Amino acid sequence: MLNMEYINKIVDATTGEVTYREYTPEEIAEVEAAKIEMAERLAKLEELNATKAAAETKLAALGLTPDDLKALGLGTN
Amino acid sequence: MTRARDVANIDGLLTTTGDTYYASAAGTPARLGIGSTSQVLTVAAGVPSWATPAASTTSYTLINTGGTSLTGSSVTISGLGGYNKLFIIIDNFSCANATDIFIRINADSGSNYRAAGFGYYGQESTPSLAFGNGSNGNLADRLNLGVFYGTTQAGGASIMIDGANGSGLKTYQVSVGGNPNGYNYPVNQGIYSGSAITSLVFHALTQNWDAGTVRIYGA
Repeated sequence: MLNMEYINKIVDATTGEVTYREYTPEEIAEVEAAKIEMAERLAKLEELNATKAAAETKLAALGLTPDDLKALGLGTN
Repeated sequence: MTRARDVANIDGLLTTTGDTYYASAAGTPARLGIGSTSQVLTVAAGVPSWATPAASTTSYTLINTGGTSLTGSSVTISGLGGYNKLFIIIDNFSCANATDIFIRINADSGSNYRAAGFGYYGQESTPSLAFGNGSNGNLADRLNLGVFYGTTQAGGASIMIDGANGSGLKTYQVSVGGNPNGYNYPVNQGIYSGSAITSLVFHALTQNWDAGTVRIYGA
């Protein structure tokens, strides 16, 4: 299968002509930087989810659910 | 001026308020009676006449016949000049893993986009009402569609752009729907401050487009 990473497909809407070009070094650098930034975002999200799961486990140990907290006007979702 | 008015009066043509004096043929004076309120002076069969302006209508046509499939890291659709309104539908797009998805107008990566909308960060709802606030993926260098955080994400989107063929500010409205695990800005409106639109680039920044079809309608 053709590797389409760092490939820009170009379509001329008026003629239907389709061409492909490889990313420039500057464009590749933007993507590589974004990959690092995305990995950091995912790590934070995973940490957030882990914290949430731990809190829910503590709640369950008390016989409570997130809906119980909402009923008390606590929590946002 | 006095002589010209005298000639008209001599001919006895200007009989009524609002009359216009013109030549219906070479050397043939003629009278055009005033039109109705809101009528405009136009030309029909080579002579002046009053006419009611046609009502303004908007008629869209599909510019990229058959649609354009999304593949690779990005897809550019060019040849969009000459349309003041653009309506874009993206059907069933998907990516294999986490990525920002967005559009760049005319491949412009400058800070020329200002948007506000209701957003999500991950699975947590976080309303964002600040224009171009630069947080949660609402960056000023792109027309944001959203962010994938999970795997095998899929969705659809529609984007309306107004003022596309002008040199001034363009407005846009974005609606994105689909897998709830990640969309940052499912509804946002914004302003683009670049030149007239001739192309759009659809980016899946850190992934490849697995699927999706873009249809662009213009008026």
